Formats: sequence, C-alpha cells, structure tokens
Amino acid sequence: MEQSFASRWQARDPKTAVFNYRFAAFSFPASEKAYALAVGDLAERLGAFNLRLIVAQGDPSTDLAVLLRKSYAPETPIISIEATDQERVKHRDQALLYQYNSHDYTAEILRLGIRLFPKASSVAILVNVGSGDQSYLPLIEELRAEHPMLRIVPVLNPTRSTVDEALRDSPKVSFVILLSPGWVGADGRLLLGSELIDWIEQGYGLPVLSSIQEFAGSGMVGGVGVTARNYGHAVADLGLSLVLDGKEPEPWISSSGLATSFADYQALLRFGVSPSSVPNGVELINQPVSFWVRYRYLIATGIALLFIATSVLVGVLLLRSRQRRFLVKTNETLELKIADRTAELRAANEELEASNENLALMIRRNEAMQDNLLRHAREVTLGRLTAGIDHELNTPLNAIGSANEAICLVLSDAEGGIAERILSLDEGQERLFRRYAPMAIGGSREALPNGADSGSIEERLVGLGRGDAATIAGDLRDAGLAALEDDQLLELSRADAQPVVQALYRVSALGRSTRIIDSALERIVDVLRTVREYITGLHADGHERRVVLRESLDRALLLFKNRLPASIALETDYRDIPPVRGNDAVLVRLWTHLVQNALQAMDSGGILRVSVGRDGGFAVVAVDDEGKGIPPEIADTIFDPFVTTRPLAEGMGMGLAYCKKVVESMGGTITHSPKERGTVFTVRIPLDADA
Amino acid sequence: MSVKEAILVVDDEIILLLSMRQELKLAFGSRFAFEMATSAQDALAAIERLGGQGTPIVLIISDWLMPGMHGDELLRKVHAEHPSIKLVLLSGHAEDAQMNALAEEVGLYAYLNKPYRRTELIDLVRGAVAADR
Repeated sequence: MEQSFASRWQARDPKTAVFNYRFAAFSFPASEKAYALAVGDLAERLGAFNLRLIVAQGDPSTDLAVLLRKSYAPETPIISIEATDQERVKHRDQALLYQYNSHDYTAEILRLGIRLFPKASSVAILVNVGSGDQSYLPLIEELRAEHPMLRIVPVLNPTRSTVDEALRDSPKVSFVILLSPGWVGADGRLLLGSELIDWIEQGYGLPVLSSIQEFAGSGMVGGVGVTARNYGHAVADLGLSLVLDGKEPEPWISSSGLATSFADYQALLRFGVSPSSVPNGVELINQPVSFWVRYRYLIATGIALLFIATSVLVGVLLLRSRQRRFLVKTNETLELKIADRTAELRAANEELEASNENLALMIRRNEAMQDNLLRHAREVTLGRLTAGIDHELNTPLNAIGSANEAICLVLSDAEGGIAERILSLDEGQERLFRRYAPMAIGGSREALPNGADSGSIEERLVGLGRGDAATIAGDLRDAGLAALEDDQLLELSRADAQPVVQALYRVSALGRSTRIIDSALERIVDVLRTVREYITGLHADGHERRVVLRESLDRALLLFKNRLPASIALETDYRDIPPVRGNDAVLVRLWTHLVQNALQAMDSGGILRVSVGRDGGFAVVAVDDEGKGIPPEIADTIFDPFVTTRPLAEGMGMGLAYCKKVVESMGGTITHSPKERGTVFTVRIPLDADA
Repeated sequence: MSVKEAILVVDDEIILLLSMRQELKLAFGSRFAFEMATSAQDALAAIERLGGQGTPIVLIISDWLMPGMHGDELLRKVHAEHPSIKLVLLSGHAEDAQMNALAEEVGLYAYLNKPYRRTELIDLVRGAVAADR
C-alpha cells in the first residue's frame, strides 16, 4: 500500500469515513528478504500507530496477514485482498482474507486490448508474482477459450530475461499485458513495473496494458490500459464497513462490478491507435488539454475575483456617499452629543478628582487610625503592665498606710498615746514594762500569731485561777507575749499589771508596724525590680557567680514553707551536680515564680515535686505540680508577657515572661509540658564550664 | 468567766492579715479575739478549733481569690454549718453577678473592696457586731 491510497481513503465521503482514524501506508517489495524486513518494520510500527485495521494486498500479504494476526496484532482485524481461494481456505481462521477477483479485470484488460488493437493475433500476458501466479493458469485457459483466434503467451514471474525469451520466441505478439506491476522480477533483481513497461515499449516497440492500480505510485504508470481503477476505493470501502459495522463482512468479495478501465492517450498515439477508438466506459488519461480547458478554473477564478472587486468598489463608493450625507446630518447631532459628553466627562472628572481627594483623606485617616491602633496597642500593653504593677503594689502600699495609721494611733490615742501611758506607770509597773518591752517588740516579729497559743495561754490562765482569762490571753498574745512561763503569766495577769500589758501591746504594735512596713517595702522593691529587670535586661548588675542550684532552690522554697497549705506536700529530689553560672538573687526569684505558679494551680492540693538533675552539660530543674494544668488556649503564649491564668489585674502576668528571659540570658531553655494531672516546667541551664 | 467573741480574717496575704488585725485590735481593743488564717482550709480548721474551745465567731472576713479553696466557697461552707456567723467578702475585683448570687445564697453581710480604708473596715465591723446585739 502506498501513501496515495491512504490519502484517498482519508478523502472519502465524510458521511461514511471515520475521520478519527489515521492512515499509515507501507509498501512491500516482493523479494523475500526485503519482505521479511518489511514485516519487522511494520510490526514495530503497529504499536506506534495503534492500528485498528490492517488492509493488505497481494499474495505475500496473505502470509503477512497471517503472521501479523498471529504474532503482532491478534486483536486487529486484517483484510487481505487478492488472496487466492486456496489460501483463503487454508488461513480461514487466521486472517480475514478477501479475494478481489483478479480474473475479471484481467479478462477486461484483454478485451480492452483487443478493442484497441483489433488486428492483434498474439498477446503476451506477464503474470507477476503478486497476481496469484499459479491460479492464473486456469485463467489463461479461460481467456484462450473466450478468444480462440488469439494466441496467448503467458509469462510467469516476468523478468527482463524471461520476457526477452518469450517475446523473442513469439515475434507476432501485438501487445503485452502486465498484471500486478508493482515490483517485478523474482530472479533477485527487483524491477519497478514501470521500468519493465518502459523497457518493453522501447525495446520491442510493443504497447503494454497494465493492471496498474491507481493507488500504486505514479512512477508505475506507463501502460496503455488500466483496470480496477476503483480498486483502492473498494479496499477502503471494505475496511470502512468493517470498522463502522464492527462486524466481519463476508470473507469473499467479488469485485467485478467495481472494475473500470482507462487508456493512456499519449501511449495510444505513440502506438498509432486512434483515441476515438477507445470504447465507451474507458477513460482516457494524459490527454492534451486546450487552453480553455487547462486554464478554465484560473480564468473563472479571475473573473469571479474581478466581479467581487468591482462589487466591493461600487459598494464602498455607495456607502461613502451615503455616509457623507449621513455624516453631514449626524455631524451636527454628534457635535451636540460631543458637547454633552464633554460636559459629562468634565463632571465625571471632577467627581473623580473629588473621590481622589476622598481617597487621599481616607488614606490619611487610615494612617491616623493605624497610628491610633499602634498607640492603642502600646497603651493596652502599658495599661496591663500598669494595672499589674498597681495590683501588686496595692497590698503592700495599703499595708504601709495601715501600719502608719497604727503608729499614729499608738502615738496619740484617746488616753494620750503611748508616751502618756508609759509615763503614767508607777515604779513597779515601770519595772514590769522594762522587763517585758524587749519581748513585746521582738515577739511581734513572728509573722502570724498562732491562735492555738492564745488558746493555750487562756487555758493556762484558767488553770492558774485567773479571771477574764480570754481577754488577758488575747491581749498578751497581741502584745507578742505568747511564750511566757507560768510565773510570768501570773505576774502579767494581775489586775495592776493590766496598764503594763496595754502599754506593752502598744509598743508591740509599733514594732509590728515597722515590720509590716519593712515587709511591704520589700515586696514593692521586688515588684519594681522584676519589672525593671524584665524591661532593661538582667545583666545590668553583673553579679554573676557560681550558683549551686540546690541551695538556690532551698532559699526560694524557704519563702513558701510557712505558707504551704496543708493539702499540698512538697517533695524535693536534688542530685549532686556541678554549679551553674548566674545571679543568685535572680535565680531565687526564678524559682519563686515557678513555685508560686505551681501552687496557684494546685487549688485542690497534691504533691509539688522540685528536682535538680543533670543532662550532659546542662543542669535540669523540674517543677512538677499536680495542679489544674495550663489551659490549651494560652499554652503557646504562656511565656509572653502579660499572659496570666488569673483574672485581669490579679497579677502582672509577667512571672513566666520574666523566667524565660532569665533562663535564656543564661543560655538555657524553659519549657512546659502537660501531664495527666498538672504541669511540669523544665529549666535547663548550662553548667559552669570552669567548674 | 466571760466568753470572748472572735472575729476571723482570711487572706493569703500575710501582710494584709497583720495590718487588718492591727487595725481591728487598735479599734476594738480586747473586746474580740482576732483570729487569722492564710487559706480557706486554715480558716475551717480555726473555726473547728474555736468551736471546740467554745469561742463563738461573730464575723468572718474572707478574701475572694486565694490558692486552694476560694473565699466564696469557704463562705458557702461556713454559712451551711454556721448560719449565724456574719460574713464579709473582701476582694479587689469580683464580678457583680457572682457577688449578687453569693450575697443571696449566704446572706452576705457586706462586701469590702480592696483597697479598703481603715474607717471603712472599722465601721463595717462595728455595724456587724452591733446588729448582732
């Protein structure tokens, strides 16, 4: 098959053609070696083309079809044309084989030759290998029977030598018929059919009629007559119907009805045959054409173009004149419209400018708003900090105020104040006062007078037979005189000792007030230091030295010892580790914050575990509580300043931010992780490298 | 022997306890025994101890926000067992709604705002113990 066949197939009636198909055409020479190569080539291409249908032609193609069907394309329908009857039977199940009846058109060629060369008495029929060779012997007999006056010389497998031999022996041959003229010559030297035809025509001066299939290349055309002009179409129809219907057609197709003939005008002239003797139904090809015929399409096209151009020109001119009239008319309207539009545009422009100004204003406002927001954020931060500081300072400041009021009261009460009270004591009372005053002042040092003491004093007084034991006991206790021996109790519970007790109580109040002020001031300094250290950084004082963590932790825990609720147990687990480098006071505050946080979380009690350990070059301190845990929503921000689990203003929310800053300034880390119950804060501080 | 009445103050801030106790002492002298507790748990223990001693408690002033049990819970417990004790809640900031609910529930005598003025405290306590009479 050649390209021209494929393109013809593609050009079929769109109603019947399947345009989704691509057509690949391959041509096969008759030599076995070349044929084997071609099969391999085709097989290779089958995959590339994803062929849905293979149409093969000629005797070798029967084998090809079977081979492809068996080995390369078991699912692909293959139509093989011109298979002989025997092959068709032999390969019935292996390929779809169709015999395109070559006998019929061979007979037709012969009839055409006799019509064209009526005086012919002898004809040579070259039966090429592609024509079904052996099956042509019965055909030759049939033709001889049909034309008894004609001598028919068959040449099987024509080559130059066999043809030469046959024609030399049969000098009266009038014309030659070459069947299947694609590739000829089974003697190993392949020859194009057209070459053989030229060779016969020029060497013997004999006309050759050839069953040239139209889809064979133009290079093969050279004979006088051709049959089966629609051969390619028939193949195409066959293939298309197979594809379109999806079912296999009858495996035997007779094609006699499809055969058409034509004659080569130039060849006829060459052999002295009048083209007028060409019978009806035979088309003449290669006819000379008249000027008019040759150029009719060009001329027609030229005229058509001229006409169109003229029409366009006339149309344009007409339009122009109409437009001109129209323009004159509409110009005035347009001018009015333009004026209107100009005014509109001006208005729009002004509007735009106005809105531009608005936009600029909005941008300025936005900027101002952003400034406001930033300022607001700063103010909020500052506000929170201030509120926190305010809250933290509130209690100590109030305590100072309260202590001051107490001092004022003691100095100037209704009875003339402490001075008057002391001065009014008699000698004995004064002695008593002098004896107990240091104890009263010192006794108030105890942070929290214990109610149990007052109870025991009262019980002891009752035991000693004193009346009004409760009042005296309370007064003594408030005077810081809880730890008294029995004789001291007796001495101070006498009625005449009561002015002394009152004076002692007031002295004790003065002492207590100073201590309240002391402690409050300490708190205030502590709060301010925390804020300052957080804001200005920690290294300002540079008081770094070796710190033994267990000692540092103990100092911090000492602050909580007296305040630990009964429901909370404190456990410590200190491993012996090298010291770290840091500021001891800062570290104590760090632990204080962590422990305080832990305690605040342990509303319902539990065990607070504090441990010191080592992990490589790091000291690891863990503060492990059984508290209520950190709410997930603040777990990520817990180390940010001003984050607190306590209600707003209840604390500064700076504790953990402070801790983080402290730890990180020492090259360490602080992390927290939840447990089943509670939280563990883990602090890692690098060990002192010099230690 | 006259049985002295007690006033119990509960706050986790020792400094506040000391101040308040001193203020009360200076104002009321030996008229009351002033008991201090640094947590609700301590307060409950003190109430039990005073009860054992036969010392009647006339007034409890408790902070709201303390580690462990909060003041409102303490006052609820006390009110349930000793409905005659007058109760004062002390706080820097308690929600009005919570306060009203608590006031209704335990018949809160008063609410003392932190920071309080000395005279406020004295007047409040004076009123509380006088109303008792």
